[in-house]
Amino acid sequence: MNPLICFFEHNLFIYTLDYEVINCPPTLSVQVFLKQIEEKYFEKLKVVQVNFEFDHPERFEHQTALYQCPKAKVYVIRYYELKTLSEIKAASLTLDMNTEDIHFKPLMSKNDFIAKVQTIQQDICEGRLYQVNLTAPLEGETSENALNLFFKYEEKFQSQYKVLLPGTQLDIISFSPELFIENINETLTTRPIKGSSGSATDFVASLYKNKKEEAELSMIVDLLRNDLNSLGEAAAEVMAHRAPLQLGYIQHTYSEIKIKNNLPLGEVLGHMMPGGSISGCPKLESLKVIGEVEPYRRQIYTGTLGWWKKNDFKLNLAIRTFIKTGDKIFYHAGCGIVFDSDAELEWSEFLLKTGGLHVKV
Amino acid sequence: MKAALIDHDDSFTQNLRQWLKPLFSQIDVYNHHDYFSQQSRLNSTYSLFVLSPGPKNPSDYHQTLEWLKTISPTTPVLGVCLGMQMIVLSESGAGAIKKYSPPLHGKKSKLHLSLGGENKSDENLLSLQGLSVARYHSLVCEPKNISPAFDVIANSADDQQVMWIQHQTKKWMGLQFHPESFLTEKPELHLNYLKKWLQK
Repeated sequence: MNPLICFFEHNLFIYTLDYEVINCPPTLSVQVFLKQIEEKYFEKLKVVQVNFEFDHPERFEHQTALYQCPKAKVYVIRYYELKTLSEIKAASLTLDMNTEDIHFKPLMSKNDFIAKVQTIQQDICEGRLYQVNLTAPLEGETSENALNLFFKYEEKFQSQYKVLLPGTQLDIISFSPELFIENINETLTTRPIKGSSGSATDFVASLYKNKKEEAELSMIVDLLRNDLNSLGEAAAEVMAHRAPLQLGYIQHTYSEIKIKNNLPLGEVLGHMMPGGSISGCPKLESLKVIGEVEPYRRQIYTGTLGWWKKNDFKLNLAIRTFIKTGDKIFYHAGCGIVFDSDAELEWSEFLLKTGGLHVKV
Repeated sequence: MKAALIDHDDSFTQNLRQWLKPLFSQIDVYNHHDYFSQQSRLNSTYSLFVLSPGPKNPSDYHQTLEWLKTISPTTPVLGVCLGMQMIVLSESGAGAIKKYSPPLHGKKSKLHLSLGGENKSDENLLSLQGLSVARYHSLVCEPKNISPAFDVIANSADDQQVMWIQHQTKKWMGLQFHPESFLTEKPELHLNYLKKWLQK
């Protein structure tokens, strides 16, 4: 059996083999499920996985599912250690680093992707919305163990929020660079990422001075301020706007927004799911567009993964994430589409976000 | 004072609520469907109705447009973005709202106020001259087709589009820009003006 590995703080990761897995029943709302878990396991450290669709599967049920999975899952941890990744690597005796390369094939053609960008831009011109995050899955085959895959890719995908969630049917390997929500000492923080560039050398010219990339992030900041402001009477504050995030294979800009919060995780997710940066703006309309233009259900991708204990929690946005089920492995990528997006460049950005995977176009 | 904030399925409504908070002891947020489906809407208990921004075209919101036709001219209404376009459309012909290219979403422009009459020496309005405001729109008001009952208070300095209107006889004001956005400079000065306008 593989261990569970989850970012915790600084360079320390939760490492455990001793946990109980609780799936959200299909008929129960995720919010109620999380409330029940909280009441029963308040003091325990838990690792949580919540799908993109949250409590609104009806919006996406017409899309094709790539695999079966519960809409939310909680690992209640009985015993754990905090370790660095190199300590975990050293302790993993069966680790095989000579794994074969996996070839990934996008499940949407370039032409199809470009046509969808243009459809979205038409909607933007009509006044229907400002931005939509358009995504597509890639599919590969491998019989490799998930722990091997985690260490095979973890150096390629620089990321602060790495997770390996093992399962009997399905393993999740996430190298997300994006913080969705963190609640520590009654302060809730979110750090949306928007704006991407491949080149590390002309970062300033290609990303920082680019008005389109600036507007893309600004919209999402206003959207996330709105979602935080919906939590109660406190006011959301923008602490940073357009800070650089350089990850080697890709460069981004991100912002940081904070608010005082004393609501529990389930309620916070009820106000904030799905995340603004991976849906679009206005959010409700962009979710309708996603249901129209994306043929595959996102499921785990662009949901959220992280830890939770008492009133504190820290969850990533599940992007740059692999889902392994049987001999199949899926990875998704996406781009924020705005009026001044260049469809060809968005396709390049889609490929850039595969971080050097072997992609067969 | 109490305000009713009518949400048109937007993602900035809670920011508007936060922006308005210093002026009101209570702000009730209603979804437009729910609000306009109610039998008794208790219009008289609110000191201000705010029509939120939102997706799509103002002509898609029949209930809001109908409601604007039924309310007393003294009922104060502030329309923001789509809200302003609904106010304008309710009193103008179809050509009053048109597509604008390129759409401006998450971008800033400076306000250029054209002040006449009693507004000319209004210090509060003068303090807003040249400030940056946030824009999220792909439709605009066509000045030559909007009802002459509206005064244009401000245009955008860079592309000369209608940013701010007031009705001459009704207590209606419209803002094409987003006073609640973090991109808007000194949002509290806009709120000061709203307070003064409500007291007029």
